[in-house]
Amino acid sequence: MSGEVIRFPVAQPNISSEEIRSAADRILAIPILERRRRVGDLGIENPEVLLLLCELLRKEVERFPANGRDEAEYFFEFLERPPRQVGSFDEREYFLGEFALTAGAACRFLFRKEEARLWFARAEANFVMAHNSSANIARLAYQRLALRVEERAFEEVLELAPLWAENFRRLGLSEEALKCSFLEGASLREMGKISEAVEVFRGICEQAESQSNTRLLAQAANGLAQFYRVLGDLKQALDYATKALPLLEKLDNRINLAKLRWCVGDILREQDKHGEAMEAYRAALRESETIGIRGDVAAIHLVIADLLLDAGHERQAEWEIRAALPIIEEEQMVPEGVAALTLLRESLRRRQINRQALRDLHGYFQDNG
Amino acid sequence: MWPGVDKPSKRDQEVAALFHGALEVVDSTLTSLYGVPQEDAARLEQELFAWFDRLSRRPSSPESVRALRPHLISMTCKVGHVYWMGKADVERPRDEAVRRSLALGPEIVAVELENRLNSRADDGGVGH
Repeated sequence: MSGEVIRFPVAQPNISSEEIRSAADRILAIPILERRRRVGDLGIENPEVLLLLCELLRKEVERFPANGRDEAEYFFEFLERPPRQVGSFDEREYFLGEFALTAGAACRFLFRKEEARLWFARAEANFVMAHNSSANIARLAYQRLALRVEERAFEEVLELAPLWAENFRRLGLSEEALKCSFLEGASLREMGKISEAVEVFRGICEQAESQSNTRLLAQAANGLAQFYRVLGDLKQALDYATKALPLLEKLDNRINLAKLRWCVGDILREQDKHGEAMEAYRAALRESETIGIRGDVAAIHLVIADLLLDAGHERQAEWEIRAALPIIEEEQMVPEGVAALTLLRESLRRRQINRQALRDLHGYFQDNG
Repeated sequence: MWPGVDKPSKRDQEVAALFHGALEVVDSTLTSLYGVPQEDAARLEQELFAWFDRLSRRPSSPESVRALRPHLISMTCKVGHVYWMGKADVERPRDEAVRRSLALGPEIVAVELENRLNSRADDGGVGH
């Protein structure tokens, strides 16, 4: 017999989906600190409410990852010591795993790699005790692989992503299988194999369209806009950006919206529309700051600095770089870019910006985007 | 403002239909293979339905509703098994079929049941 936890049920009151939704909204409307004081009387342990909270938080991570992380952490801590029994059979362990996975995914978006790893370990420790652990562990493996993309372990990702995609197909999870192709395409792009990356992403677009999966279609179109921009095909790039924009807005996927605005800035810059490019970059910067994706904030500061140097605004460019450097240092980003970072810092000290070092550095970030 | 979520779908109805189609098997598993008294079995079946309904909405659950059935059978067997684990030795079942189920463990019993359901379906009987 497996080590899965089977907790015998307690009677749950029947509540309608509207009541479940309003219970979840009511809980989320209470600030976390106050929630901690009222922990026993909010009905959080109701498994229907918890299931809905999981779904809401998965979406929140794509809108405001910092908020998604904090909420997921709260519910994880709640479930560690619940005031009453939580659900039936394996449900407490499943929810613990799910909130930990969500917190880890949020940390990944926030460039907090070590914290993400810890949350993934917590997710694993709980998922192994829940029913259908193989599928949950596979979802966890996807998140870990996505983290490896950010750590630039591209060969590893190219080897493992197709294996996991096949596993997901065998588990009957076609959307998760398709998500693995994103990792494959992103790795190919970082390795400079952009035409191959385009093929992978076009395949994702086709499959997402056939599955009516708006979310993955929007993300794939966003990726293609970036790839075609790098290939210099600005018309295709703009076509895909135009396709992605309303979909991402509809989904309120703010992380990808910020990346799309950044990409549009790049396209406009290559069309020598520097003023409009600056507006797009500033919009992407504001969005990234609001949602707390510090890696992108740092990178966009550097891109803006580069554009300002083109326009001969050396002092303003210096301010942009000075805004980016503390984030890069605090978060220990771009380990491969240490040399460029050192050169750039040194050139700032001499007040003579090293343009190549600047470009090298924001190149690393764009690769990670 | 928190984002919206999808309304109950055709899938929910299919899940309910699958459960009701499998209810006879669930009931006989609990009462015959595991010897759970009828009153306790009825309570557990209600809980199994609520659990299964939520399981189908987990992101880790297979997209095909048909592929959910082994999960229901598997959990039914685990529930039947754990039912006796909490009992004192004097209360342990004497029935040979139940003793066999407990000795084999829920995973093997679930596989046997699933195979039986599949062969009945192949013969044109119930199961699908």
